[in-house]
Amino acid sequence: MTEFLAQHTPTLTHWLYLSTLLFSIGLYGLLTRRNAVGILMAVELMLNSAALNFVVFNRFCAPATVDGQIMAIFVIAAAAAEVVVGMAIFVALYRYRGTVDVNAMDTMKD
Amino acid sequence: MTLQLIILLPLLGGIVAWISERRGSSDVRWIALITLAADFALLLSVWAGHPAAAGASRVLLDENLPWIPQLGIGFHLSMDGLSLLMALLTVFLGAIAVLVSWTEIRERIGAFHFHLLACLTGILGVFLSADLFLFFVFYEVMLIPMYFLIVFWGEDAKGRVAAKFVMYTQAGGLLMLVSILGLYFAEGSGHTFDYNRLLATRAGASSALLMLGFFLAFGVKLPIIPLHGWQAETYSAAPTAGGIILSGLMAKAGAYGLIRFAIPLFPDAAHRFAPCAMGFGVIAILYGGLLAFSQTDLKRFIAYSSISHLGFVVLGAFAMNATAYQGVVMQMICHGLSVAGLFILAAVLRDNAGTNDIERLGGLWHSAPRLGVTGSLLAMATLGLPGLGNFIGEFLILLGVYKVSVTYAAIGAFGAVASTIYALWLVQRIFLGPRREGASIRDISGRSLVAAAALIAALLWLGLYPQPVLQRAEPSPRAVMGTPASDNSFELHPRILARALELPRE
Amino acid sequence: MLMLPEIIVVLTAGVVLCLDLFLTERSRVILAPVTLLGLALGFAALLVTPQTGDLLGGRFGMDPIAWWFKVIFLIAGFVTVILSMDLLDGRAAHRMRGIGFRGEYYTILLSTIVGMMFLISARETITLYVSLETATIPLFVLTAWRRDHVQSGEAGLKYVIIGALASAFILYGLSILYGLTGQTSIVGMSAKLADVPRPAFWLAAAMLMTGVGFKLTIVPFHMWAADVYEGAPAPVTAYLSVASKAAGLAFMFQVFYRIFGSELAGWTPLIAAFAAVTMSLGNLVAIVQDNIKRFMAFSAISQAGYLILGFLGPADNGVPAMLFYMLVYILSNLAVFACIVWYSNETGRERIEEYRGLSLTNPIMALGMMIALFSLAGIPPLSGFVGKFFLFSIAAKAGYNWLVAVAAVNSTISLFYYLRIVRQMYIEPIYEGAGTLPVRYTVAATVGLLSLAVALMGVIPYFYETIHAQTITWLASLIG
Repeated sequence: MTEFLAQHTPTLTHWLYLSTLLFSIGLYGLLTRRNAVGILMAVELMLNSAALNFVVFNRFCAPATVDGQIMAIFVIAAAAAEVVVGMAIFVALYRYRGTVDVNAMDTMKD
Repeated sequence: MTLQLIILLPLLGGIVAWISERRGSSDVRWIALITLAADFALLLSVWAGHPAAAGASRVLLDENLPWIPQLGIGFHLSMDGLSLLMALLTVFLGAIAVLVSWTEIRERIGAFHFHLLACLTGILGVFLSADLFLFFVFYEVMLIPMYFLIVFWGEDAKGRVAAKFVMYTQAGGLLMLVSILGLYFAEGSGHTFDYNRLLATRAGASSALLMLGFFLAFGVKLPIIPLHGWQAETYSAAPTAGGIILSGLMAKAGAYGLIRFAIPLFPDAAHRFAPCAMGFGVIAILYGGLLAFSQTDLKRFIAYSSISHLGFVVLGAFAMNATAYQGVVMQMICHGLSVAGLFILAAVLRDNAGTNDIERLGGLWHSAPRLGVTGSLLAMATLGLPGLGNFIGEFLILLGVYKVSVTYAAIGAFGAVASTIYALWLVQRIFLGPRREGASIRDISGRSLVAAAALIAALLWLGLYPQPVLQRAEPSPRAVMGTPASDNSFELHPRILARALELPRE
Repeated sequence: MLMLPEIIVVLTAGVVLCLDLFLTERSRVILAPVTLLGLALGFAALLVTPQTGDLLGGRFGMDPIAWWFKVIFLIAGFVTVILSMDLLDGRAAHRMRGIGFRGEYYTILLSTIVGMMFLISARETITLYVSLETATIPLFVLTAWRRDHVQSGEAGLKYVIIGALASAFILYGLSILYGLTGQTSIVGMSAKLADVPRPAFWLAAAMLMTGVGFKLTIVPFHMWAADVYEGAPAPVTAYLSVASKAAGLAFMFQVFYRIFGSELAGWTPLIAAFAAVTMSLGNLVAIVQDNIKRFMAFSAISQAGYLILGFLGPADNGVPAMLFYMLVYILSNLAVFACIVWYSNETGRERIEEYRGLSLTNPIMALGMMIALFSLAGIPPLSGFVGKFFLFSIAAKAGYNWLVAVAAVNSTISLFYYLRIVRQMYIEPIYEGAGTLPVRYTVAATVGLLSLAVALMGVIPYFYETIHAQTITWLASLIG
C-alpha cells in the first residue's frame, strides 16, 4: 500500500483538480445556500482552494522559495478575519431579526 | 484683454447685482443696465476702432491664452465682423430684457439679474470663441442660468418644461461634443481645438456624420422642425426676459453655429447635405407658419412664427453663397429685434389686458393706440415689409437661394407670403375687429414703450440703411466658408441639388 | 521615510483606541479631532516625503500615481470623519439608534484608510492581498455599524458575502498568476507573463477582472451596491462611494498597468462593452429611485462606467484622465454626501422628494449640493465636465465613437435625474413651518470648500497638468 502510494504521488494536475473542485463547490454553495452562515462556509471553501493553489504551486513551480506558503498563511489569517467579522454581523442581525436567511433580506427593495 | 472684458463684464455685473441686493440695495436693475451699457460702449469702441472699409484683415481682435496646452485647448477669443454684430445684438437685447423685467420681476431681483447676465456671458462667449472646446463650454454655460430663469420666474408647469428644454439642448450639445472630438482626432498634426487650424482639417469619410452632429445640436437650438418639441412650451412658460433671450439670442447661437462651425468646418459634407438641409429650412418655413396660424396663445404664436423665420436662416445658410450669407446675418439680427418686440407686446397684453389668448382679445386700438401702433409695426417687421430690416434679410436670402435652386426660392417666397397673412391676421385679431369684453385697457407706457421704440427704431434703421451692417458681414463669408468668394465656386452646387431632388437642370 | 504617512495613520488608530479606553463618555468628544489631526499629519507627511522610491526590498513602492491616490484616500477619510462626528457625538437633531462606540469607529475607519494607502504602494502579491483585505474588512463592520437597525445589518450581511466572494475571485486569480510565473513580486510576474500559456492566463485575468468588477461596481457585478449604500449609515455610505471606489481603481491600476502591462491593448472591446452596459444600466435605474442614498449608489455605478473609459487608450493619456476624474468624482460626491448626511442628521429625511424647499431654508447648502450634482452630471465649466471630456476624448481617440455617443446619451439621462433633486430643492414648495436648519461650521466649511474646489478645478487646469506631467515620469519609470 505504502509502496503504491509512493509510486503514485499526486502530481500538480491532481492538486489543481482538487482546488478547482473546491472552488466550484464553494461557488455552488454560495449561490444555492439560503442560510448566511452556510454561504460564509462556502466562501471559506473558495478562499481555501486558492490557498491550496498557492501551496501547491510553491511546491511544484517554485520550490526554491517559500513565498507561496507564506501567502497561504496570510490567506488563512485574512479569511479568519473575514469570518469573524461576518459572524459578528450575522449574530447581531440574528438577535434582531431572528433569522439570517438571505431570502428574507429584502427590506430595501423598492 | 478687451474680448475677455466684453465677455466677463456681464457676469461681474451680475455678481455685483446679486450681492448688492443681499445688502438691501434697490439699485439692482440700474447696476445691470449700466453694466450692459458699458459693455455696449466697449463693443461700439471696437466698431469705431476697426472701420469696415479697411476690410483687409477679417479678424478685428484676437486674443489667445493657453488653458490646457497638453490637449491643445486654448482660451482663444476672436472677433470678426459677424461676431461683433452678434455681440452687439446680444448686449442690446440684454438691456431690453432688463428694461422689460423692470416691473415684471418683483421677487429675488438680484438673483434674477445675476442669472440673466450670466446667460448673456455664455452667449457672448459662444459668439466670440475661436476654440471648439471653449465654444462648447460657453454653449453649455448659457443653459443653466436659463433653466433657473424659467423655473424661478416662469409660469405654469415650469419645472417640467424647463427640464425638457435642458434635456433637449443637452442632448444636442453632447452630440456636438462627439463631433468635436471626432474632428479633433481627425486633425493630423498634433492635437488642437483651435478653430483656425481645424478649419483646414478634412475629416474624410466621417465628415458627414460629424457635420450631422453639429447640425442636430444647432437644429435643437434654432429649432428646426422635428426637434422643436421643447420650444412652444418653454416660450410660454419663460418670463418675458427669458423669452427674449431664448428666441432673440439662443436661437441665434444656433444659427451662428451653422454658419460659423457646421458649414465651414465640413464644406464638402455641407455641400452634399445642402439639399436636405434646405429642405429642412423650407419645411420649417411652411410648417412653422401653418402652426403659427392656428395658435390662439400669443407666446405660442411667437414660438411658431420664430420657427418659420429661422427656417429662412437654415435655407440661406446652406445656399452657401455670399448674398444668402449676408441675408442670413441680416435675418438673424432683425428676427432677434422683432421677436423681442413681440415678447414685449405679449407681456404688456398680459399685464394690461390680463390675457395672452388671442381669442379673447380684440378691438384694442381705441383704448390703446400706442400699443396698436407698436404692435402693428412689429407685425409689419415680422412679415417683412420693405423699409424694415426683416425685408432685407429675407430678400437677400431668397436672392441667394434663387442662384442655387429656383424651386426652394419659390417655396421660400411662398412662405414669406404666408407670414404676411398670419402677421396681418394677428394685428386684425388683437387690435382691430370687434371689441371683446374688457377691451378698454391701459396703454403701453414707460419702460416697455421705450424698449419697444428702441427695437422699432433699430429695425427701421436696418431696413432703410443696412449698408454698415452688410459691410460688417461682408468680409466674413470668404473665410468663414473656407472657399473663395467668387460665385463660380458654387457652380457645382445646383447640379448636385438637381440630382438629389431629381429635378431637371436649369 | 517613505512610509511615514501610513505609519502616522496607523499610530493614530492606536492612539484613538487607547484614548477611548481611558476617557469618560463625555470627554470622548475629543476623539474626532484627534483622528482629524492624525489624518492631517499624515497628509503633511505625504507632502514632505519624496514622491518616488521604494522600501523593504522593493515590496513597498512610492510613485506619483500612488501619491495622488493617497491624497484621494486621505481627503476621503478626513471628510468622512467630519461627516461622522456630529452623528457619533450625539449633536444630530435626529438621533439614530445604535450609533456609538466612537473610539472603535474611528479606529476601524483609520485602518481601512491605511489599508487603501498600502494597496496602491504594494509591489508584492502578498502585500497587495493583505492590504486589500485590510481595506475591505473594516468596511463590512462600518456598514453594519447600527447594531439594532435592520437595514444596516442587512447591508452588512450582503456586503460581507459579496466582499468575500470578490476577494476569493481575486485570490484565486492571483494564485494562478503565481503558479504561471513562480513569482510573488509584481515586477517579476509581469516580466514573465509574456510567455505563459494563454488559456490559463486568461482565466486568471478573468477572475481578477471579476473581483475588481465587484469593487468598482461594474455591471454585472454591481447588484450589492444599492442595498449596501442604502442600509449603511450615511457617512459610511459617503466613504464607500468614494474611497472604496478609488481603492477599486487603485487595484485595477496595479493589476492592469503593473502586472498585465502591454497585454491590456487587446481587451479594449471588452472594456468598452462593460463601460457601455455599466453607465447605461446605472443611469436607467437611478431615474426611478426614491431614496437618495440608493439613488447615489446607481449614480456611482454609472460614474464607474465613465471611469473605465480611460482604460481604452494608451496609459499616458488614460492614467491622468482617470486619476483626474477620480479626484473630481470624490470631491463632488463628498460634497453631495456632506449635504445628505447633514440633512439626514437634522431631519432624518432621506427621500428625494423630502428635499423640497431646501433652497429657501438653507440656500448655501442647496447651492453647494447643486454645484456638486451638476459637476457629476458634467455641466461645463465645472470640473466634472472637464474630467468626463478627457475620458470621452480617450474613447474617441481609440476609435470608439459609438461608445462616446452612448456616454453622451447617458450624460443627458444623468442630467435629467440630477435635475430631479435640484428641482425638489429649488422649485417645489417648502414644508409647512420649516425654518432654517442649523448648519455647524465644520459642515458648512466642508461643503463650501468642496464645491469651490469642484467649480475651480474645471477652470484652472493646474491639477490636470500636474497629474499629466507626473504620469509621464511614472510611465518612464515603469518602462525603464
